[in-house]
Amino acid sequence: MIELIDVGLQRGSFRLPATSLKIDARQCCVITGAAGTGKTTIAEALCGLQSIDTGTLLLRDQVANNIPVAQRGIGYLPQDVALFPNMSVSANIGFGLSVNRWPKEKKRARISELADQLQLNELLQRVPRQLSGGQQKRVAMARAIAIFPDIICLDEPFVSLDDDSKTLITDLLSDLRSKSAPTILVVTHQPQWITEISDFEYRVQSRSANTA
Amino acid sequence: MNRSNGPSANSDRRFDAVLIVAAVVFSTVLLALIGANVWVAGLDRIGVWETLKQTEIQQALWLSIGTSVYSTVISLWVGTAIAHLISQRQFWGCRFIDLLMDLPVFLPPLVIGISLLILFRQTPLVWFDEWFHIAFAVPAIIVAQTIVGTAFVYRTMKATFDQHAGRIEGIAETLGASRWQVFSRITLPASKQAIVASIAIAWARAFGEFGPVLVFAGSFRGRTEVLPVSIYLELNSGNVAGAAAISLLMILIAAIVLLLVRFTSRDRFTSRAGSPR
Repeated sequence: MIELIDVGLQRGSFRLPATSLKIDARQCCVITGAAGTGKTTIAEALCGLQSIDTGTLLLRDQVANNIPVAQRGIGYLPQDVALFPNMSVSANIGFGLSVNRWPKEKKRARISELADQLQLNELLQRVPRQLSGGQQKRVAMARAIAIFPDIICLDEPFVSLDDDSKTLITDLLSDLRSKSAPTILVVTHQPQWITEISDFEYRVQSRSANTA
Repeated sequence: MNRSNGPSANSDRRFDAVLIVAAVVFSTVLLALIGANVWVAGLDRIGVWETLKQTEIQQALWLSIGTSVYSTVISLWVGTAIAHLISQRQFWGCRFIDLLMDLPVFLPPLVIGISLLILFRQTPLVWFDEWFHIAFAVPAIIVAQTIVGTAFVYRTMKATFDQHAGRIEGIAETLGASRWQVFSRITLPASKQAIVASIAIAWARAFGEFGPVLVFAGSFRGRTEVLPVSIYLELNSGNVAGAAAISLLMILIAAIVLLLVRFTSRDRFTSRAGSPR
């Protein structure tokens, strides 16, 4: 389903050395490693936000090196959440549904379902800057999974969350795995929150990356 | 240690004094400039009234408003498009275009005017002018105003696009949005303040543009006469009170637009209830 074959890239003084990783369909992989080793770079390369210099990226058994970001169909939760500042929480969650032309009623129902699951009901009309860090993270999580992507990539989903919210995210992922069973890649330095539901851990070695 | 009596407090007071003096002096100069027009116009109220009643001045007023609105719309469209292109895409020559876009801001206005005139009248492009009648006509005013306005829009919009748009645009694309959807639904709404600022600065520059307009469009009464040209013509004919009256008219219109811009650019979300928990 996802395969990185000797994928490497260089951005300024940062170099991601040739990295190989294979995640089968419906598996959940946790990527761990020290800060600055390239965990986020791997996630961004997967989503197409970083172009690959060397190696091959396979998505759904197809070479994806040059597939545009919008056509990769990956639900992505970025580390910095990057919510759309001009939109309400509801519009943020529903953005993917809108651009994929979901009917209004279906869209409203999906937003409502996610708001229930991630306890966002009271916040739907707010804008991102009126939310705390944890609330923003939950909104970004809802936005990433709204369109039922078959591949989900989560970059530090547990950062800025209290323990209750972390449990909420873990339960949500567990629920997703039992229902739609997407392929999940989680970049985290808190793997203890996801160990129970993950299939394997890939540790990015600090010696293999060169950061200034 | 009591900070209000220490050496740092004295330094703070001196620093504040420098800032306050600068603000007071410059505000006084600006008010004096407006006051000078009021004073001169007030000395010859009949002359002022006669000037403002002239059909040519009223035509110049509407021509100024009309051409500045046209050129602002064009500047906003072209400047925003180029700013988005240069901000989002890396390609051969993009740095050169970036540098080139600043040129109208740094060039003397007269140079822009004479360059436009030579381009349309002394080069092989003369056929274009013969077909579309640009030089020494109303289109010349719009072209001259647009050249500088576009440069200001470009700089304002590019600073905004560079600052925040790249990241959230990428995230929007991961959700399946096309580039147009990203631009229209994410980039532009997130750049609302910059758009309003761009409109204000492009319009203000267009409304007050004189040098390039005078050279490229001429100063034909009732045909290519915009308000800055009217001031020039009144001064040339020795009617200082009339020139002051037109200046006051321009100040009044600029003040109204400035207030409208300030009112429009207020963020509708700032007064909403709800704070981060």
